[in-house]
Amino acid sequence: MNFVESIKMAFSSLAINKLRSFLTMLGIIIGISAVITITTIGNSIQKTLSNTFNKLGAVKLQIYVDRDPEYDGPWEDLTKSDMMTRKMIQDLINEHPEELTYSINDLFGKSEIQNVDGEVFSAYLYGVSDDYFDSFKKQITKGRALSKSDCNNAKYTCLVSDVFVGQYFGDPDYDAIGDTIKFEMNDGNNIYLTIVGIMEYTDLEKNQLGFNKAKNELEKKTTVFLPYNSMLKFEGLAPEETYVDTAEIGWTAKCDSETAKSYIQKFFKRYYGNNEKWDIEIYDPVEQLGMINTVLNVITIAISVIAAISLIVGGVGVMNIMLVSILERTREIGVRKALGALNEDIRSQFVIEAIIICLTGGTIGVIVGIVNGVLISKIASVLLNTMASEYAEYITLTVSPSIPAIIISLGFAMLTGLIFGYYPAKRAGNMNPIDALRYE
Amino acid sequence: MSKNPVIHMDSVTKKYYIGEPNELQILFDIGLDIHEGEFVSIVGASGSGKSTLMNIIGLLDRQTDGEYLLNGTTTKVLDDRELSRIRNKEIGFVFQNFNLIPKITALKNVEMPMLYAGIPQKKRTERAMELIELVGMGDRYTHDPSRLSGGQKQRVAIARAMANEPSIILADEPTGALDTKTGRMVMDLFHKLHEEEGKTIVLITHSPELAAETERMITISDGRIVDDTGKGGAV
Repeated sequence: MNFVESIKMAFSSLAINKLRSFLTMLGIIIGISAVITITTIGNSIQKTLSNTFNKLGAVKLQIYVDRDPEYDGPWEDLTKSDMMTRKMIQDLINEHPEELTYSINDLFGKSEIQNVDGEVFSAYLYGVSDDYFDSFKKQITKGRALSKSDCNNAKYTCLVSDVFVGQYFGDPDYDAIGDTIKFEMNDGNNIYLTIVGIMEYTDLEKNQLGFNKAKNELEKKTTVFLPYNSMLKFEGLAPEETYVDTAEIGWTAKCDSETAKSYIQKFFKRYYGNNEKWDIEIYDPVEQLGMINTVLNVITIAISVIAAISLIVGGVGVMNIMLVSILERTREIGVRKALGALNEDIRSQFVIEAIIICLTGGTIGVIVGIVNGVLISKIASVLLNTMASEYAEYITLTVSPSIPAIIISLGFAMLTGLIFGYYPAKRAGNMNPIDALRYE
Repeated sequence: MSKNPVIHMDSVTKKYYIGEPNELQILFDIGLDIHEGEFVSIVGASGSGKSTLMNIIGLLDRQTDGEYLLNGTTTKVLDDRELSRIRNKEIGFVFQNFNLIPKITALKNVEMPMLYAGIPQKKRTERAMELIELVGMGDRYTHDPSRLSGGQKQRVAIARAMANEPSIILADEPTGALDTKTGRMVMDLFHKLHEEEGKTIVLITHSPELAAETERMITISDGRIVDDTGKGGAV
């Protein structure tokens, strides 16, 4: 018999007994919606985290000195000879120039600058590496970012912000590229830097710098970015003598995080191999992300087991209702057989009906699950925005149901219908037409 | 009248609880020929075995012994599947209690045998509409059975019985659940089908008055044919 007809017939017999059909589907709805809820939340967390990482910049390894696992002495015992120097890190990069990158953003100094009107600004100078602007997604509106050559040759170049241009030169549209500014350092020396680029502040930076939104200006403070080697030169420090708490090491397309880690471990063995108290630690944010995934996977498996149980219970309910329905429709089955229906026509009609019950339940479950997931994610987003509003710009909540989970759930719902519908359907198919016709 | 009978029965018996102690024999040595275009009635009191005979003619049940040929084909060796196919194509049932499928329209009910015959939707609907017009239910084809009167239901059932142009229409007490007036209308419809469409009709009834309207009357008593009168000729 016609497959489409069977499906139409199944839907019409579902519609006849709406309450009964709904109660039958309930077990399946609960099971499927639980799985879809948890997978929607899990998927949303993963998407949100990876989007956030992308916005904050490329993922980097952080290396720092920490206690050796077998040593628990006080931090005061850490001597200068135990510390990581900038020279070590430069050497590490020089050994793998094609694969590793060193991102510097922890060198800073304070200075004062004066404009033609005699206004005094305090300026924070940041010595950074050339990848700083890319990895922190700074928007350069005019000119260019600092180049490798700026950094390696310790050139006297710098980038300033668009807000600063407006305040310092009195005109936000002023073309400041090529202008040189005098910086009066705290130690009394003066340095001169030429502006090569102008960048936009992010909202996070504006918050940190005390940006006055009404006046569109900073409280006479600004940040200036210059090559880190120039910064070191101004401070009169050799790389061997500058100590680094935490160094951020990135990797290029020719390398991956595992290889980068192995390079770092191998390199620092030279310095810490014989040190009984201190060693280098490597922090990998991707590994942390992996741990969150592991926790989510465990929760998903637990929920799936519960869902499987509720599908079985739901399936037994479907079987029960199918047996009742077949008894009620015995006469109808007899008539159909008298009119020429084959056993398999009757059987497939009832199997399809059971599958449709389960699939309808499954579909409702998927919709309920997605709605739950979206609601929970929205609540999480509201909480996040009130508790950590300054980071709100970086965390865009992405709600995304897991497509594979939906397909697998619906597949299992169908399978439940097939398994638990088969026995009642077979019984219906094998009915003797005379007995069925006589049934009262 | 064609040479070969539509129904040919020779020494057909039916026993239940086969085995000596509890054996119950319903039909004894039935011999019967029904030819194309005949309007035959089978009469008998309840318990006479006429329903069992109808079930065997309609291939819903099997004889215990003897030969039954339908359109020259022996039915003894057929399996359930083949019996279903033949029921579908060769036999049109009309039941006492109508037996329409509830909750679906009259039109869908008439389409049902064609559905199982694998006829495409468009053709099914066309043919079903023709039949519904023929039985005078053209204005009610969208109604489902719960909204039809007994006489209307039986007319839909007759349209359904004709769907696959069967060799015979087998009507089991078709007026039994109807009042005299609507029963009369249904009988008139059978006469019309017989006269205008040339249908072979087998009417099972316990009413001698209805049987008297047909061309040939076969009387059954205690599982035996005791009388066979009419134009159709004797066995």
